[in-house]
Amino acid sequence: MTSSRTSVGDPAAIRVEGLTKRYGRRTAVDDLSFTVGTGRVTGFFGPNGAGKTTALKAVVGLARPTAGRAFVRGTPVTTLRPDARLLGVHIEPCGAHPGRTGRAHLRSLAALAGLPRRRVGEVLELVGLEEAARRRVGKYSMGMRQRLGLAAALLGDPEILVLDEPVNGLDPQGIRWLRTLLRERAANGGTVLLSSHMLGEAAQTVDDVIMIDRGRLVHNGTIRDLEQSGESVVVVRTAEAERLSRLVAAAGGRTQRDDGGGLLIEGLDVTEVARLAQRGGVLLEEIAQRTASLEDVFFGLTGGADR
Amino acid sequence: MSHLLRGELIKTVTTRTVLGFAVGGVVFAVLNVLVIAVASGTLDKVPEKEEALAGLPILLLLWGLVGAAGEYRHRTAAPAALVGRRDRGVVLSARIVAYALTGLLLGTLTTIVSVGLALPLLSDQPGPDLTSGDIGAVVAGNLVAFVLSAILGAALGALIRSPVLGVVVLLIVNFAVVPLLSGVSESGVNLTPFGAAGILSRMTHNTTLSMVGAGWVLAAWTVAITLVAVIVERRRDLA
Repeated sequence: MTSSRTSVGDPAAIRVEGLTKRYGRRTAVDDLSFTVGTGRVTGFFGPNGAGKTTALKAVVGLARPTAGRAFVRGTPVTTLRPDARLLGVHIEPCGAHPGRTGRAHLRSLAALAGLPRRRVGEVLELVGLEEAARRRVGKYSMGMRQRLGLAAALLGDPEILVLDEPVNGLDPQGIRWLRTLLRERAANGGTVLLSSHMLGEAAQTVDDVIMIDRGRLVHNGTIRDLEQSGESVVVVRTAEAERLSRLVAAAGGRTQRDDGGGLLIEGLDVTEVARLAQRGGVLLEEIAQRTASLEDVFFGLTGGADR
Repeated sequence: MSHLLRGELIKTVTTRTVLGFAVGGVVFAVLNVLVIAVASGTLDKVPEKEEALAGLPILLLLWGLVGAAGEYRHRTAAPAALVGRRDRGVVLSARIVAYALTGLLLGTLTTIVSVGLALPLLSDQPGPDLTSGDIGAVVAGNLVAFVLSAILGAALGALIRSPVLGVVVLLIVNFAVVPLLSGVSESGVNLTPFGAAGILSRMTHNTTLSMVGAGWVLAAWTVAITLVAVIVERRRDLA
């Protein structure tokens, strides 16, 4: 049930302006602004407790912002008529009663949404839950509950999908299936906003990245920009590390020891370090350039490694 | 609205809770008839005989409360609000109507059991027999009390949002606060939902308040609390 969904000139699928959400004295989301482009898969990243789920709840209208606004297709979410055909949402937990079967859960949602009953069978097949559909949700594994939550989000074949930590609990096959599904939806003009605390895992799926930490925006751009923004380091192994460190410092670089006994050099490229060593008479046993991984970038932006 | 009601009705009948309440209601109805009509000695007055037919509206209050509060405990209220094509207040209203309809079914079941079991037993008792008018009034009063109690329970459940807390509060009020209040002012108790439901179901008789008056009192409480629940639902966050 895929169809071409986008047209030139569409407003941003989702636009968030100065969103703030406070619970008493605690600020969960702090002056957050971003847009989610139509036909794009946008990753919403941040460490645990960064405010991702709270922000998503405000974006879909489940939580009322303390300040700021969220728009879906240009309409303020506070005045938006909830419609499973426009917005499919999966926010953990899956929102199914443990004593109800998966099929009954979806049947009730299909009825509430005014969708034909056959959609229940279609989405159960899509997420691979046909055989478990008559079992009570309380007996489901975490991965099966995730699939049921995704089935509920997909029930209306929506233009926009908002998924909170959708890969949690999925096995590698499930993750690959989800990646393919989301990419196909985006290719057909659909829009996906998905949150995750695992940037490396989701990087293969997303086009754009919104990164938050402690409720505040720390990065908003394409995944390619983020990959290229990582500063590379030169890894050196030498018996004269102290001498080389002084030479590097004099040339404007910075050094630190890595876990394996090597020296990590920032601020100079591999050629500059090799020349410095040659001029200073430092014998290098090994030299290599290492580009920061997305995980390194993530930690760098969020301070995650220090927590 | 009909699609919302259909969805909410599917929810109310697809867990074992409805079965538990049906069994509980029937068991109570049988016990009540046996205790009143068999074990209470001679019943020679009409109000005493009517008591054997009385239902337990608090059971339906619990039905609505546990079900509606469970929507928040199990986070099923949020997905419903996200797909309902109407605002949250309307979705909650549909849920309350669904509990009223299923409450009517549960109430009808227990009433059939009560009447079917009690009438043959009461025919052996001395004094005037219950006329068809008496029986009709008791049945109607019980059904009205059941439906209004289910609505009130669902509205309270939406406000309290915790089944355990709701049940504890309800039981404390019914079994501790109301009896204490009745010691102070019996006519005051008649104006509470519990007192009015007791009169309406004929569990309580010989009071200053008529069945119709009790119906209006219970309806007024039900409407007021339902309105508050709908207004609050529109304003509060959903987990």
